[in-house]
Amino acid sequence: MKRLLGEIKYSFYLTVHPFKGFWEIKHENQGSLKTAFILLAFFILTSVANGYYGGYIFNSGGGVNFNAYKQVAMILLIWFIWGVANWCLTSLFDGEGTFSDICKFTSYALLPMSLVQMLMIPLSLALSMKEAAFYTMVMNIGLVWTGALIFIGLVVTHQYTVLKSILITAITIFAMGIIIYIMLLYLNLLQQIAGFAITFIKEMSLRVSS
Amino acid sequence: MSDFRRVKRVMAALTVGLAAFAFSGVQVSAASAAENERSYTYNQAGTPVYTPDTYNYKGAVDLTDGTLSAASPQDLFVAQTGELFIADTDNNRILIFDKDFQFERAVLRITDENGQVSLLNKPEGIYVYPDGDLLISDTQNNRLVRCDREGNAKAIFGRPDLAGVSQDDAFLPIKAVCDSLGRIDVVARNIHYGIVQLDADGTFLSYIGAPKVQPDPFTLFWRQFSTKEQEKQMLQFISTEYSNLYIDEKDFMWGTIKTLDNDALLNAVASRDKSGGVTPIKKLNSMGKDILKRNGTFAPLGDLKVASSGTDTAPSRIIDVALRGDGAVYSLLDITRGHIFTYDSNGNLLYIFGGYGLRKSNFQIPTAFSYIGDDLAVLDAGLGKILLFTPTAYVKLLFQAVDLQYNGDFTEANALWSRIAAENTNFDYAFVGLGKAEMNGGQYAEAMESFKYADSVSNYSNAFTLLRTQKMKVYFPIVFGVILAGIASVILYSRVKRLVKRLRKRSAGGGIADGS
Repeated sequence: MKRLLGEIKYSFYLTVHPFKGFWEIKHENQGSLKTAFILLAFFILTSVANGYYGGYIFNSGGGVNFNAYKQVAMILLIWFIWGVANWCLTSLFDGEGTFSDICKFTSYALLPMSLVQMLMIPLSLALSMKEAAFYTMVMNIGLVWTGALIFIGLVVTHQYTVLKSILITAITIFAMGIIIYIMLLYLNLLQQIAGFAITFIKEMSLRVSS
Repeated sequence: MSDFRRVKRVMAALTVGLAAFAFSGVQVSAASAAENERSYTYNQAGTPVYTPDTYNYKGAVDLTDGTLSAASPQDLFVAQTGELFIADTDNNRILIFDKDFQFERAVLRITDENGQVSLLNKPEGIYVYPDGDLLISDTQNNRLVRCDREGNAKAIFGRPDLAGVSQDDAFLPIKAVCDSLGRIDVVARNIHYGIVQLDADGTFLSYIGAPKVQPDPFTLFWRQFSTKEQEKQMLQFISTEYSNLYIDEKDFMWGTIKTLDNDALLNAVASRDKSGGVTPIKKLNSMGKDILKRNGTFAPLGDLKVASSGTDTAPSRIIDVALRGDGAVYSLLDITRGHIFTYDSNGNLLYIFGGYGLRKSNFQIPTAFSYIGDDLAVLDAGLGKILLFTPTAYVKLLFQAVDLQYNGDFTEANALWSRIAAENTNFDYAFVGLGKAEMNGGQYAEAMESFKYADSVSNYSNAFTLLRTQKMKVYFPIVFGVILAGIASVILYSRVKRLVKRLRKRSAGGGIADGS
């Protein structure tokens, strides 16, 4: 328990000292998969809370219309596909990170975004549309910070050069696209089969009744 | 044997099940047929939602002089006297009905100033001057005729000297109106430059309300290499013909445009384009500038949701506009689905009704329509009849509220909007109206609730800002006062502490001094 608290405390240190931090969670046993999952859960929690309790002006699709299950599924899906795509590629391009390493650095990198989202809930209740620029600015800071952390995590975990990391990131996103495409294709196929069955039953019922 | 029986039993069960399924299907289709009749509107998300019934069928006027019924009538004009003028196109005549819908007379022959008699030939447009003269678009005779109701011509305008149009192209006027200065505005078939404006004696002045065409560099480049014939063909792609005209009391000209590109229209809906670049309706001032207000969630474009595949994919085609009174409310007639769209002067969609079908209240080929008071008269070329519709209590309430808002009487409108909102919770705009009225009354929190219900973020933000300012005014002095008091007390405390210390020191020192 004490160790876990220490690791969570360390994740805050990591957000401001990413190079040292990512190195130490991989090599010096300063982080664990458990902490990574806690951080991921924290991110999910803040984004769901933002959806439910964020001010209407910045969150017009939220409130009672907000679908928390969809949001959770989206985050988990993207997180998982990113992990899988990155792992597939880095194993090919002699990256040093294992799948669990990838899960770790991605989850740790989400911390700034979670904090910003948490800050945004009271802020969005106090700001009007005229002050929207301020809101988006703070939101963008969180986004850029998290993006930078993911990138640095990639560099440190896989021991890549910057150029190679950029390339790998681009290819990973492309691979994510392919995975989603295949998933949709599969879903579409299932839908067509179901549609065929329903049409068949309908047609039969019409024939029988007439 | 038992196997056979089991199969039979299963078959029987299956048949019963399928029959039940089929029966439920029949019920659904009957229900959807009934839904066809229902009025609806679009919410802020662009989803169709039902409204209470808006217009009830009142009856039909048979357009006949006693022997011959109207054939493919193309235009309807309701004069200030309440008389109805119908361009009975395929019978080559103008029919006049009095305000009780009784046949008055027909105009077939035109006698010009020299006593020469000529027949009308497929007239497609009719306009009536305030003094009672008729302005007939005598389409196949390539002329416009101004005459009295006996057919005595006061002026006959032949083909004007049209700029940019070849002499080989016939002048086919289909609609014409006249402004208070006596200028005649004409919509002619196959003229793509806009509305033809003639002066009082029929000489060509200019084209107005021309659609702005912005040629892309590629087209301009391609132009360099094309022949005259090709250029002419290219012109047809960019053409925008007006289909109908209406001139209101303030000389604003309302023109409808039917020939718009399908994709451009659908795109304008999808992107919530309110610039008026792609629009089936324009309100032109005397300079020919479009001044129609498009302040609704969507611009007046007709139907917003059309099927993405199948037979029902075409966007609305607006063929006529009708103004109620001074234009606080106007309606558009769509030929694609026979829908009638009603908007207020700000461009907010109020409701949609009407449609094709075989019921007596359905249309076949609607060609023109007009308000008679609050009632609507729709001319149908397929039926050769005028269908009359009368507003329900709900619409009368709506008209009242819109009129009050139009005249700037917001407090009166408040009560009405809240009643309308209670009658139709689907109608977002009523909640926007209610919210604005509440905001004017200083009930910011209630206004925020209304705007949130109507999903109007900008209005919500305005109400919220006002509420925040109000709350700040109340609580800021207290909060600031508490903070000031806190700081003051800290300072005071330290001062007092120092003072006490000094005093103590002095008294201690004094003691020593005394002692020494």
